[in-house]
Amino acid sequence: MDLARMAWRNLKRNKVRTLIAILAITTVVVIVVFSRGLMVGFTESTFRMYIDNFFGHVRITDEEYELREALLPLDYTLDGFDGRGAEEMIGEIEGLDEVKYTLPRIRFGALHSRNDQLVRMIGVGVDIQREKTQGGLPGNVSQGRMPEQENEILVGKGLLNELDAELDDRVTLMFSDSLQSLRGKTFSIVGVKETGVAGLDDSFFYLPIETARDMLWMEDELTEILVFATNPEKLDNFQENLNSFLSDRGGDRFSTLAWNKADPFVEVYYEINQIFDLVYVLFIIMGAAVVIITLTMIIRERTSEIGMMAALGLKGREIMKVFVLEGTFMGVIGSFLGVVIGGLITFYYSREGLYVESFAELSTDLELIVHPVFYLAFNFENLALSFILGSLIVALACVYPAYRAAKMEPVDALNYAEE
Amino acid sequence: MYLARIAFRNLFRRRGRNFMIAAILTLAVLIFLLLESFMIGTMNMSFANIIDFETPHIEIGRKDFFEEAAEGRELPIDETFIAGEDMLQEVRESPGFVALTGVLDFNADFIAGRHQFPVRVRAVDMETFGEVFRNQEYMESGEFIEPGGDGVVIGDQLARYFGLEVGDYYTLRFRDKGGSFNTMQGEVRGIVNTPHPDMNLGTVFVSRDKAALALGLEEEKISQVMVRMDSRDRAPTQAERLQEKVGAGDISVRSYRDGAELLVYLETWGLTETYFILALFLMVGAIGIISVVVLSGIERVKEIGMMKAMGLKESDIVRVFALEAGCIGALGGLVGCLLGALGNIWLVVRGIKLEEFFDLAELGAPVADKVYGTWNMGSFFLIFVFVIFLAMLASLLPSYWAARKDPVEAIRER
Amino acid sequence: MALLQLERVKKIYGKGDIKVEALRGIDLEIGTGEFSTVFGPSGSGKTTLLNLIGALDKPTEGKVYLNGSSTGEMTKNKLAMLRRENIGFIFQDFNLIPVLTAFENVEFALKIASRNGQPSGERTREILEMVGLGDMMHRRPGELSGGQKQRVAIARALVKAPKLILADEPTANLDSETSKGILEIMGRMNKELNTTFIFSTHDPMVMEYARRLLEIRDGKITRDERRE
Repeated sequence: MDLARMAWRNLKRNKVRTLIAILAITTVVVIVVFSRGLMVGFTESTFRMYIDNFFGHVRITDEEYELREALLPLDYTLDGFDGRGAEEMIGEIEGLDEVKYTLPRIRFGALHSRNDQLVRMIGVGVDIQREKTQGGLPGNVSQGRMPEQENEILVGKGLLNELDAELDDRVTLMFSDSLQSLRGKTFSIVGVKETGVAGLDDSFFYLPIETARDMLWMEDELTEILVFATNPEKLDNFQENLNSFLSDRGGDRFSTLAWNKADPFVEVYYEINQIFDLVYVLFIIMGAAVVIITLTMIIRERTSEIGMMAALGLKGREIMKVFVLEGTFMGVIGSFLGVVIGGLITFYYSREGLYVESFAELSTDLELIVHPVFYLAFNFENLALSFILGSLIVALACVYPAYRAAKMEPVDALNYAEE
Repeated sequence: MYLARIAFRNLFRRRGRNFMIAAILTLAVLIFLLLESFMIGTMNMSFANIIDFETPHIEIGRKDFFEEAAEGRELPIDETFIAGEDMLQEVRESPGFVALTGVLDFNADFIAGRHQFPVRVRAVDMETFGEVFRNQEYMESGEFIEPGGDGVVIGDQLARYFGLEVGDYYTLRFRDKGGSFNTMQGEVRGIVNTPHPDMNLGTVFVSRDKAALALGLEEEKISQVMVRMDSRDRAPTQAERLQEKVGAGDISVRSYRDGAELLVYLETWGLTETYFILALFLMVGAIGIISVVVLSGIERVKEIGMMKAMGLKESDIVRVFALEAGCIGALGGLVGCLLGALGNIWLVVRGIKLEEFFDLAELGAPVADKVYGTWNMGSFFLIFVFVIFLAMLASLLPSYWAARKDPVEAIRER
Repeated sequence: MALLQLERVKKIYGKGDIKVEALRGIDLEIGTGEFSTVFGPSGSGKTTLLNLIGALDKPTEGKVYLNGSSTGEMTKNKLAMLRRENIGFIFQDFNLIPVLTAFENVEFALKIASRNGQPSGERTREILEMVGLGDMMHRRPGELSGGQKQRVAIARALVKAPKLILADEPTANLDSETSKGILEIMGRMNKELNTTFIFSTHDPMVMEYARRLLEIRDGKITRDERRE
């Protein structure tokens, strides 16, 4: 008789027992799908924020600038290879095979005085054309539009509140130009940027890079270039090649920074993710423990049956196979149900978002660059991985009890008596 | 009595499986205890850093000053005050009082060379500052503030950004009482490197008499009275008491916790996370208990039938299973607590060097160096009781299922 | 009123279309101190009858009066109390609690029956000695032979001095020599303690020991004879 069919029918002999074992696997797989969805969703959306807003995959700056970034200095700019201008430099970088596109930027500090209070902010000069075709900026415009004219700006939602302004208002900002003289300029607010991330919405405004150059007395210069790779998976390689390209072209003082090394927060999440991979396996092992105890009981109960099978000439391997199959069926069914239920839950929260109050307060207060609402990642890879992990670990866990069943002597097994 | 004896002996009938489930509970307890110890240890350390370097156990200032500060606005120079002798006397007479000092905090731009950076200036009274704060014990180079001098003390990170060394020139630009821009200039007198990262970048120390002069304030004006107490536990209640005694009008007395909202959120978040992880582990543990009870119910169907024939009620049978489950819970809880205690000894004595894992300090939490665990006897007790309770709770439904089986069929089942 | 009285008792198993009529109208009266056997081939309904008498089950139709009260209207807990106080059971496969010793198995039964914790050790020992297990009372069931196990079961049924002891095929799992011993003990207890015994069997040898013989076929009592 077909061993698989026998194992399948055995499953139905005690339905409650089979159900509980399946339920255990389902639960742990749901936990894994959910937590993975949570972690991946959280890290990916956070990483996305870092990449799109601050670093690209690799950010190029002057090495002195990188050292003193917090001061937003305008003294250490990218002025091209041998001072031939940033335009040419961008052209050459974009010519590289591995580079998908670049976003040139100028960042500077600015102030606004309102009711005797100073509001501090960071201005970002952006290449409107490039942002529109490739960058993530236009996607975050919640009201109005991207700036086009020289006196137009896009303002973060939180900053707008700080300025006590509305869309289409005019606002005068103060800033120090590259010659260190304090100047002022009046802009009209043509767009509002809203990411939901306090760290981004509360302090940034965006303007055309030409305007920024003009008002800051800068020439064909930039403070940074965000470089996006065609193949972001091979980041180390990419950064290395970029480095050697820069030094080949005489840009030794230009420094590159990979996005995942830029902020300790990103590194923390990298490592937490790795720790959690182990935790997932741990959870499935705990679920598999329930299958093991169930299988052990089944084998004990069917001792005389095992003796009979052995007496009929079934080999140890075949007996083992029956039990491994029985346990594996439980694992597969449980994992499948877990993936379905977990998938539904993650799908729901990938749309609606999961709001945790204490975290929302924390992320607002800390000005973390993370979204206060968790959007779970719903993807096939997560589901498939959880399913395979669940089925595989359970199948492996069944080997030991099945091996013990196969090792029984037919005579002992037949004469086996409970207690 | 007999039910308990039966339940207890039943535990050893299927040792392997009971131990496996107990092990899951052990794991849950162990992970929870260590996570929590680490969490609270981190928080304690953060609070300790805040108390030693930023805001001590109690601070007294004007309500509006604290409000503006909390909203992230510029610190208002108008909201300073002169601490009356009777107020100070009252504070000195508080139980647990150690020392007090007045500080004058205001915002300024720190300028050196071609760069500038917004900082909080803390003007301090050298006579008493050292009795309350420990900043001057962490000098990297140079010396701390001298009364009446122009020198400033800056954090090592600020120094690194500006490329400054002791003896270099600085300018502080700020607005005085009248609202017009004024500056203070002089030499960097010292560079400090404290375990509280915030204090190493955004805070600059100057002498109070000089600052008051430059701001156009009377010499005795301060923004906060900083009070050091002998213990952290005492601070919130003493702050409340002082609020009633000296908090007349617009004066507000706060404990270190009121000022550190961020940390309080961080604490809540950390605990939420810890409990969430615990809940996931316990969920698996509960399923384990359910499966054990179901399997035992199936195995002992005849025994249960016989017990019912002898006149035991269903509730008695449920009691036997619940007791068994409770014992599994107790075993898991006990071993978990023991291992947790062992692990915690290591955490408390040796500590964890955070940098081995990740740089929490740069996340903005006032943590540097090593984090040590803490002993929370309450947690050990609570988790032990809770695991037993949970195990018994999880056993109820399946044991009721087992107990409800018809005794007639149960006895004859083969 | 007699200890036990059955009036037009029917028991139907199953639901919907598939119904099995296990008992089709039984009238029976058994008095205190009787030593009766229910005899019949397997499937005749004797086990069902014993279950009804033992208050393990309720009749579909008709009434079962035990000690004067009808079981049909009782809740599960009431039935449990009734069994606890009045009935002792002995089963074909002993059904001892494996984690308790012989002594504990018997004492447990006594403890269940007695409401207040009166001293029970003496009584338990006495009963175990009566069934001839005085020197093995601290062994667990796993360490006893089939006959010894059944003697523990008898002691367990007897210890609380019930009005009625029901034994369902008590000797089916025992060899004939042991069976004889078991029946002799049961007979002696019946005489010495005036306890009512009803046991079922399909073994003619065992039947011989009974003083009242009830034959059951297809759910009806076909023979009821008394002998000395």
